[in-house]
Amino acid sequence: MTGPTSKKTKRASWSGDRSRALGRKLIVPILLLVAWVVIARMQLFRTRVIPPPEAMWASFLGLYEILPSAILTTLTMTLSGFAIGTAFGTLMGLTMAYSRAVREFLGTVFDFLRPVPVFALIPLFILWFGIGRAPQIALIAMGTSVVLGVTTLEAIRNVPSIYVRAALTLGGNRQHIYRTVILPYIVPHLVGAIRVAAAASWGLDVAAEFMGSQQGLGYLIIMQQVYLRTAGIILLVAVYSTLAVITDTIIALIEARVTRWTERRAGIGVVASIVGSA
Amino acid sequence: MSKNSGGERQPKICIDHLFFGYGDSQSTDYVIEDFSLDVFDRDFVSIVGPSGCGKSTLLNIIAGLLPATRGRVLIDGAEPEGPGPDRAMVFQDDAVFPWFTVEQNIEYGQRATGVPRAKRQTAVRNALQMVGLTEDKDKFPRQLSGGMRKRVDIARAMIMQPRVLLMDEPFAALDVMTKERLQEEFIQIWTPMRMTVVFVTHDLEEALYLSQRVVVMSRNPGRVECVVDVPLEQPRSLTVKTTAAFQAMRRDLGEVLRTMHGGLEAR
Repeated sequence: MTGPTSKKTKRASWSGDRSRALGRKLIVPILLLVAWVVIARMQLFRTRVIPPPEAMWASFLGLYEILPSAILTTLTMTLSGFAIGTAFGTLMGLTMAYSRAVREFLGTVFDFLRPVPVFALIPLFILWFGIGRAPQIALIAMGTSVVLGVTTLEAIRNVPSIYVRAALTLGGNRQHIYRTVILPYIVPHLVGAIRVAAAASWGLDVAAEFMGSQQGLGYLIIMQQVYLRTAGIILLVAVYSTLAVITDTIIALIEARVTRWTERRAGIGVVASIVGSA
Repeated sequence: MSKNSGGERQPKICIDHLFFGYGDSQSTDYVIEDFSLDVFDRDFVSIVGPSGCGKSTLLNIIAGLLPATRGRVLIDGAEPEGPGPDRAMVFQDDAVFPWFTVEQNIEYGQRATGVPRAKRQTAVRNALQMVGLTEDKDKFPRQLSGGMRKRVDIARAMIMQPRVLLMDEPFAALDVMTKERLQEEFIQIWTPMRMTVVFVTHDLEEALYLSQRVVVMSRNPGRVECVVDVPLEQPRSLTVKTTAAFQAMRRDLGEVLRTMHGGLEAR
């Protein structure tokens, strides 16, 4: 096995911290890739369990044509559900915090619906909306709105009272304070929940597609499973992952822009190394 | 030391037999008990007292953030309903909104009360100049030092031209040098405007330096122990702190605080 060591020495010959850091980041993935190739070559497992690289390539060529439309379907459904759920959940949280009347009337229903395992609702949605896009979007929207609703409510409860007091002594009324104090304050706190909700959306989408769709990546995965094409499944899962990473990166970029005013960005040095931001 | 009886004019603030406590009508624990005080227009009054005497609570009641248990507070003869910009407050903790720039912070109150844009812009420009932050108007609070943030806080409150400016140990969280500089700057800003100020502090020198009258508040329960006139010439520069007259007053005030009921010695 001379492969990995020669790769490593090549890298080490560039001098400097940057290439060493890069080396540290890449070494585990590279070792895993090498291990995979070796295991496949030595046929330690049946091809159904660990497909060799050639099978991956063949699978890719086979799926190549239908992949784009499947990705588009999955993407539009997941993002719609996520967008609807986030908007609805945040709005729900805001309304419940703002209006005591809403809290009293809808609070019980909300508390009751909250712990329902969302996946259990898939069959219900299929009966209601039929097989197609609607039940999927409904599921994703439902799942994400609960997360966002609860987080929004909690975030509002934790707004430091001093800001509200200051706003009151400057002439702000309830509505104005919600718009100019509460909302800006909770945005950075919601972003964390939004990232989690985005990741969860993908999971919800897969479950929804498994249960009854005729197109999309999840549907393709089921098809691959039926024909025992392990390589195809791995490939499709990788596509799912890539989509999730891309959306997460986009959200992270928006987060950076929107949290410009928070103290977080001032954490350089020792503090950052302890809390893991450096 | 004398009790200032005031004149015939109507007081700006009339605190009328104020009580504040926790508990029910059977057994109320009074933090503030039978507190009465008149503050006149353009007065600069400080309230000093040991920790826990209720001076911050008193200020919050005047501001309308806490309800009185008994008694009332009148502003210009009328009882206000809840908090408002006529009693703007500068807090001890950092209350500057971190998501707004300096300029947006200062114009907050005027935007909240619907002041038209042109008028707002002029007022904000003047306020920025008054506290010396014109060049920093687009910065966020996290980019400012503690002293600068305090200046934003003060400008934000004073721009509302409140009937009463309430200040709750505003300089307590700052280091000594910044604190002294801000004290001096504040006097310079206040002198031409001369709005009524109620200033809570535990720093006796600060109280004597800034105000015309110092109210000593006792603890357990909190009531007016005595009121001291500060007849030093105004406007005052920091050097007045080293004069004999000032130091004598400071010594006497310290004595009162030590020996009064609920004071530092009598636990």
